[in-house]
Amino acid sequence: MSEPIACTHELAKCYGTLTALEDCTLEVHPGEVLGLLGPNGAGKTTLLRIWAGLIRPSRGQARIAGLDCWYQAAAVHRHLGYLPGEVRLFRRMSGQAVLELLGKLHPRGNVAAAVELARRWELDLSCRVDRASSGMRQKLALAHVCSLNVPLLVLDEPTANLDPDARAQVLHYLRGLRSEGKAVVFSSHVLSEVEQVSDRVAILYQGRLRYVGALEQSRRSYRIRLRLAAGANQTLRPPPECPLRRRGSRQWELEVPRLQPELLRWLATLPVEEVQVQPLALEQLYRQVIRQEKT
Amino acid sequence: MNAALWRHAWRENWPLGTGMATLLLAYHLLFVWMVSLVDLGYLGTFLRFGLRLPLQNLLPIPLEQVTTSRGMVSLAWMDAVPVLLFSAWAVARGSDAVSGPLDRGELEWLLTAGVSRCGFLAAQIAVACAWSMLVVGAGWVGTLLGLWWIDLGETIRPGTFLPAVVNTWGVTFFLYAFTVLVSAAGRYRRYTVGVVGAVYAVQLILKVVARMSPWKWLAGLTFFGAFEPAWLVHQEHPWWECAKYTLPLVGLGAAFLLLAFWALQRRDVPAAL
Repeated sequence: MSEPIACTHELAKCYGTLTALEDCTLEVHPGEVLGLLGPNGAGKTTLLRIWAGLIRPSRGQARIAGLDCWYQAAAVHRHLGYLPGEVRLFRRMSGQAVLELLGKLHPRGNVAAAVELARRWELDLSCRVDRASSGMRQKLALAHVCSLNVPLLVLDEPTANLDPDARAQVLHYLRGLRSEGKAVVFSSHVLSEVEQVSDRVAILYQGRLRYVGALEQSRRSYRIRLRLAAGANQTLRPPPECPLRRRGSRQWELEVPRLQPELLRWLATLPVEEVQVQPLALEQLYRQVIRQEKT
Repeated sequence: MNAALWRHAWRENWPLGTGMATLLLAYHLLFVWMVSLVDLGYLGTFLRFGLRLPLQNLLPIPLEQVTTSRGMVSLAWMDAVPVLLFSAWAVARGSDAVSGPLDRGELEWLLTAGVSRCGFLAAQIAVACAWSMLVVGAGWVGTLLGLWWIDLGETIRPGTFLPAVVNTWGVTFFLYAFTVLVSAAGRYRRYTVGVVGAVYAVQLILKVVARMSPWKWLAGLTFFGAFEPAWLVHQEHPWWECAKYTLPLVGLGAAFLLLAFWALQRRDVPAAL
């Protein structure tokens, strides 16, 4: 396996008596997308800010490209693009001026690429930051961070405040970065988007890393929600291994380990008004990890 | 250091710096004009007999010097308006060194764009110090223009006021450096302004009490004790006296700035709220 682009070793951060992060050992490899999950206050932002060199670890080490994130922070940023969780840009500047300032400041900045990305995401760059919506500010920040020619992007809730279209565009872009050999670490509370993009997930709970692993294909399962057409009053006989639950007068739900052909054929025979298919692997995993830790 | 960082620091400074410099220039110019309208003989009588001794002590220079044109013009450097202006400038710029951009969420962008913490603060301080010289220097230019255009009945060399300019800059630098230190350790700009404002008020009160009471030693407890621009104008060796008053302020200010570098280097940069 290649050398990790980012790693932590027994990393901890304490604020007085509060332990925000404890004993966190993690590696991220080039060309990998790592999704960081956890409830609020789990330590996700703390971990990302330590990698960004903004927070000093209380114990342990965080390294990027072999450099210490605290003591060599300025050198680390040659290898890193960081998006903070709460995007508060230079409010008196226009979008164009922000991209120019940050692009020229960053040693691997590319103003033209940032402007191009912003145009692709339909951003009005003449608008002043303090007059832009939170979604527009998020897009502007993403345009800068994604334009950087760095091997690692650390993104704290990159799709927060974005509309569904923009969210899809950003996720698509992040997936594309993997093929360029870039690594991405991002936190999110939206399990489906982590599942869509990530190769591996890490789950934090109360400051401790509780799970790190790949999203295995064998564990993929789906939840299917059906709403039958009005007047349909037939007895439903799903294929074996597909337990069916009633959720309303015309609404049914079933969880299946995979989308088998016989299940799809059966669905096609039903007088359905609406079908929703939702991947479940990560949700199950997440709930299981959190439940285990709570008990 | 990156040119974009210097340009950014300059852009952050120039609106307030230009405004303050213009106001100071205009005020000193107007002050010279106002001095030309005062009957110095009547003023001397009024001050001598109208003010009781403790109030006379508030005058920064002896009464007999107040009643000269040079003495009157020198009083402009200790007038409330210029003092308020350069103090406001120092606190505004000092509080915007660290806690300002931190509070606005701009600092994390600068520090994650490959700018070192020392580099960031050094650019802020260098640009602000250059502006402080421009702002204080603008006051002297106002005096210069006033003396050039307005006839005061006696010849006064504008160079006489240069020690006053240097002393005023020393106090501005000291106040700026102290504010930078508080800012480097703080999280919110409003708290920085509050802390510095409270210290400033206490220091000012100490100065007034030291002047009006028999406890002259109180002047040693306030940085305003070293702020005597009007008095310096009338000394036999003004530059020597100026150095005695100003160098401690500059030295202490430099120490505060070093502490600010140390504080910024060690502190966490929390997420903006």
